[in-house]
Amino acid sequence: MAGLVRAPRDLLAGMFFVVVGVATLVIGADYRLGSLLSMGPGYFPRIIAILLIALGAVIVLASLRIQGAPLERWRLGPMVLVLGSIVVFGWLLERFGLMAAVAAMVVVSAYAEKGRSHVETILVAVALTALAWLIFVKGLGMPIMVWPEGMGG
Amino acid sequence: MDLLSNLALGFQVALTLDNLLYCFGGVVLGTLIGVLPGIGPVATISMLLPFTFHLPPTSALIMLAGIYYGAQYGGSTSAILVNLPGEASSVVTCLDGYAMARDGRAGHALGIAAIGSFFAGCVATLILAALAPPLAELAFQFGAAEYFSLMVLGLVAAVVLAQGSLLKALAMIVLGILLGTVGMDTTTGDQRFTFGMPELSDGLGFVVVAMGMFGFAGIIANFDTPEARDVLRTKIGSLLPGMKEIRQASGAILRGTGIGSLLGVLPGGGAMLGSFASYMMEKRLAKDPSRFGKGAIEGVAGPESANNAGAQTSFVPMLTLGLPTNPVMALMIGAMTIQGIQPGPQVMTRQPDLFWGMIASMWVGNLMLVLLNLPLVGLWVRLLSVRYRILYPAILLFCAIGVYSLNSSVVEVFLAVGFGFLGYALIKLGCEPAPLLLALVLGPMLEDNFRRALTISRGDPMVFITRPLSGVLLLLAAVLLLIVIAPNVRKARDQAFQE
Repeated sequence: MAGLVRAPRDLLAGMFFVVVGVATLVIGADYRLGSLLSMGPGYFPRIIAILLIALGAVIVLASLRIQGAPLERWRLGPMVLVLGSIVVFGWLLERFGLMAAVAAMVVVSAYAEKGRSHVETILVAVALTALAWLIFVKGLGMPIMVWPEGMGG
Repeated sequence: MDLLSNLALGFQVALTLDNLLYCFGGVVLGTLIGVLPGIGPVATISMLLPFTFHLPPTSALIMLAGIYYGAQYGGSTSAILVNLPGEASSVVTCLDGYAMARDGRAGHALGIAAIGSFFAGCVATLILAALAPPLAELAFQFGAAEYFSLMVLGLVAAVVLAQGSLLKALAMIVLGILLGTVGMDTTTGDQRFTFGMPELSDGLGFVVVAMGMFGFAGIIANFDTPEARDVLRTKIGSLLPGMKEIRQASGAILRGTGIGSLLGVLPGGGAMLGSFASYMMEKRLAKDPSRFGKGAIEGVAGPESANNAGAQTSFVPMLTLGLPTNPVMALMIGAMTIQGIQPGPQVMTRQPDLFWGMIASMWVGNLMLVLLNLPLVGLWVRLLSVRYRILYPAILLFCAIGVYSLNSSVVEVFLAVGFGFLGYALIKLGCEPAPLLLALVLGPMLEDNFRRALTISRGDPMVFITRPLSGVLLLLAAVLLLIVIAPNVRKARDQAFQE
């Protein structure tokens, strides 16, 4: 099989587009179609989904015939840490307030970059948490929970 | 005469203390992110967008516009001194700018880039002021079919600009349109693809997607390319080029301004295309093309004038037709909508102070940029030594708080994380996110006009072809598509992107 594929990266991209298109058709299967004169909610998405499937299919076919780029290596570590830090931020924000959320986010995301000392991480976290307080709480007066309940403001 | 009184009104607005400050803030921030590689105007503007809600609309737009054209000035600084394009539109400036710097003429390169940019900025402001009223007039004649066809043309043009595979760029556009259908169907009120989430019934937030795909995904992707920054140790030298160099560069500045202004107005245009086109043109026109790449001053003057001109004239379709031609303009539309302003030709008549104030502010901003960039260039260079490892947590912070503050919704923060993942995956698959973003904004307008045109024509799909203006626009789109698919043009395009 491997010999068949000339552009693995494009093959995967094409397959992704086809899958999204098919999923759209399946999820939107009961959206009313309507007519050209008076279109229902399902008309336009269906046209677009079919277009996406067609384009995806062409990309898949081309990847079997035309030499192209290999798959790129994913940097899973940084990805998980960066996205994870935002999830942590979101989870903490309405439970423990902005300060805790920002500090935790900075610490988690800091580990995405290798070779950083713990001292530096803490310094950056403190500095950015202070900055966030200055800009968003003091400066813009954002209506947001700042400290954990029962502590400070 | 009208032009003068309009501009006078504009300057009255732009020269108030508040607006001067916001303009200054915008261009300083623009220069900053222009100098720094790894963060561009799209990410910055989407980061700030939620906070502009608290500003008066005119000040908000003046500041956001300043970020965009300010980035064009800043981008040349890192291109010339460090051989790193701070912005995509400064890629070609690296070629001759860095060569000049190695030659000990860094100051001259910086000087001519600023002079060219300023000249281009002045001309582009005038073009914008002169072209906007007639275009807005024309826009009132546009029916649904024309709008639909114009958007199709714009989206096709955006494909031409995307780097890499055309097919994948087309698919990204279609995917963007599809994402635009999420939410309540405006005509029938039905919920589509919301999965029962109330947060989605107003549609996918543009800022949420932009932040995920440009902010978060961009940061992750930056870890793939190791940081390499060798700030040039040689002295910058005199900033004012000699008479001979100015004479050499003046033609390039004029041509760059022309081609940049023209390509900026066109759908799909913006700063980047102009700079590439100008570089190719200068190389072709030169008596001795072999000088290029070895420190030809025209190779700096032309593209730097062109990208600034293009950045400014790309406001023309946004302000007059309410149609964004590139992701930055899509964000400007977003900024207007947040402020409750319906973008379109009526902005000029209903909010003349906003319209002309913004145009006048561009000239003011350009003046500030020259004053900021030339004497303070040393300061900007020092900024380059700020490590990305310090910078990215700060970017994350602004993104995260920005997404949340939009609707005080944690769900939208998690959605942005999802788009961060999607964006990174797509980057890894060689699919550029910019066309998707543009299509996401245009998608709902596209659908709306599509449906309206067909209702008006009693369901006759030929309406898009039989209405002359609409037919011509679609024909243009088809021709454009055929041209870029043609093998030899493709090769030239790939070459241009590689240079």
